[in-house]
Amino acid sequence: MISATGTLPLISFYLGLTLLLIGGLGVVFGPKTSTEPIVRIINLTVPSTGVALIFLSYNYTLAMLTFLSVNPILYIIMIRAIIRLEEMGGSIS
Amino acid sequence: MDPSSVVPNFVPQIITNFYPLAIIIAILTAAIGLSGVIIERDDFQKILIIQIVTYAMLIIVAAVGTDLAEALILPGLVVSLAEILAVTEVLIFREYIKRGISYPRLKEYKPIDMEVLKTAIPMTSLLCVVYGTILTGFTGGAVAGAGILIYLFIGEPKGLSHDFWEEMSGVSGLAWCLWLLGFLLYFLNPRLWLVALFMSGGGIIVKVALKFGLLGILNREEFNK
Amino acid sequence: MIGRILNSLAEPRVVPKIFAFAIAIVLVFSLPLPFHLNPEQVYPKPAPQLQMELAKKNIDISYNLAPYNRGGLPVDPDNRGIVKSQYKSPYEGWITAYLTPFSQWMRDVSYHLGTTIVAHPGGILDEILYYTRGLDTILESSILFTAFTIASWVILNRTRKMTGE
Repeated sequence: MISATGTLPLISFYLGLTLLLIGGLGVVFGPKTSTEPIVRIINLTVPSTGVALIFLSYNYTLAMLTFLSVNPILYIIMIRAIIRLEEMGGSIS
Repeated sequence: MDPSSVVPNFVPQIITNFYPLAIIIAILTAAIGLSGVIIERDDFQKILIIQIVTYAMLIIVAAVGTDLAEALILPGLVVSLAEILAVTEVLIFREYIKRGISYPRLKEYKPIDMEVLKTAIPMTSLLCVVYGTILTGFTGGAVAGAGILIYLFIGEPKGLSHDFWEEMSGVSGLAWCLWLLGFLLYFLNPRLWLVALFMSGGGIIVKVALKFGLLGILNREEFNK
Repeated sequence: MIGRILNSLAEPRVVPKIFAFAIAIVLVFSLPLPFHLNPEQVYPKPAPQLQMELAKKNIDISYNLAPYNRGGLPVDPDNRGIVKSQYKSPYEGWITAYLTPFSQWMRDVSYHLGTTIVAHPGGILDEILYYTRGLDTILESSILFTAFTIASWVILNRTRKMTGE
């Protein structure tokens, strides 16, 4: 029996924690991440989904809204930094 | 209407049950991220990995499950975004200094030519700005800023010069002063709480949204010349 | 020997690694400690989805504000919002219960705009952020302002140098 007060927060909470942990591993130790920063940014979307799910499970809807609107700005800033750094020379260091 | 059904006196049982697991997972994630910082030698990659630690700390704050925790998270998100913006800028500037002024530009820059980018972007950004204006506060600033940024990046702004944006940043400084005045009004004369509320809410949205807009217009100038 | 170690520690490239290592050590050693949350917190929040469920059963009257309904009527000193704050103030609960005319209209129009109404001026989060926390928020926003100033200064100066102004 699925109850809205009991089961649904549990599902989104455990799913969010799993995504956070797995996504964190993927960002840090994932394949090709040390040479390609764009892969790291793409992997970063997994733990951010997890964080949004955890906010949802606690009913922090306003914090989730802010988080979701901050995320695209964050990706734009990071991708811009990658482009600028790549412009100056092949390898970033 | 029973008041205890609206707001409880204590933190509900389900959240106290969530607490240990959330803290443990957050600490594990933070440890993974920090080990990544130790291993990685590239500075920009470190900024990307630090995001994981930020997320873990957000979960630690959120695990308390009160309204105060949410109020702590809201400015923290916007502040961390501003910090990352500043740090990446300083990083890029440091690379410029290392390599001198003469540097190779990207050989070819082809903008993506798609129908949906021309038609959907103005509507989307307009919706974001209108919704952000309704929201006000930190949330509204982030939403409206995202709308402005999307339009400036992908749309076709015309007649926006350098001086215009300097004036705009002056406006945002004034908005911040308005916001501080609102705070002072709360402490000095709490009877005027309504005026103070509107001053603070309106000031912070103008400030946050305009700063993101500044970023967007300068990006356009850099990439399209 | 000690001087060489200290010199290698003072190198800017090493400092963030040492800092990260120290924080990681503290975090990992705090893992086996027992964690439990003291339920007596200030500003408690109702259980997740509880207000929506109560609204469906018509137990709560003003259910259009869920999940941010904290009781009270707008601009009514006898019927304030329910706030469990740390410091008592004579105007406590007024901002929590306040709704602008626009948000009153939104409340009457739809059942699903609770989040939007709370983000509009008035509501529990504005009370915490602007009224009760006060100088804390000023400090946080000063950091925001400083970071934006640094970023826009770097962007403006570098852009001018590049375009040759």
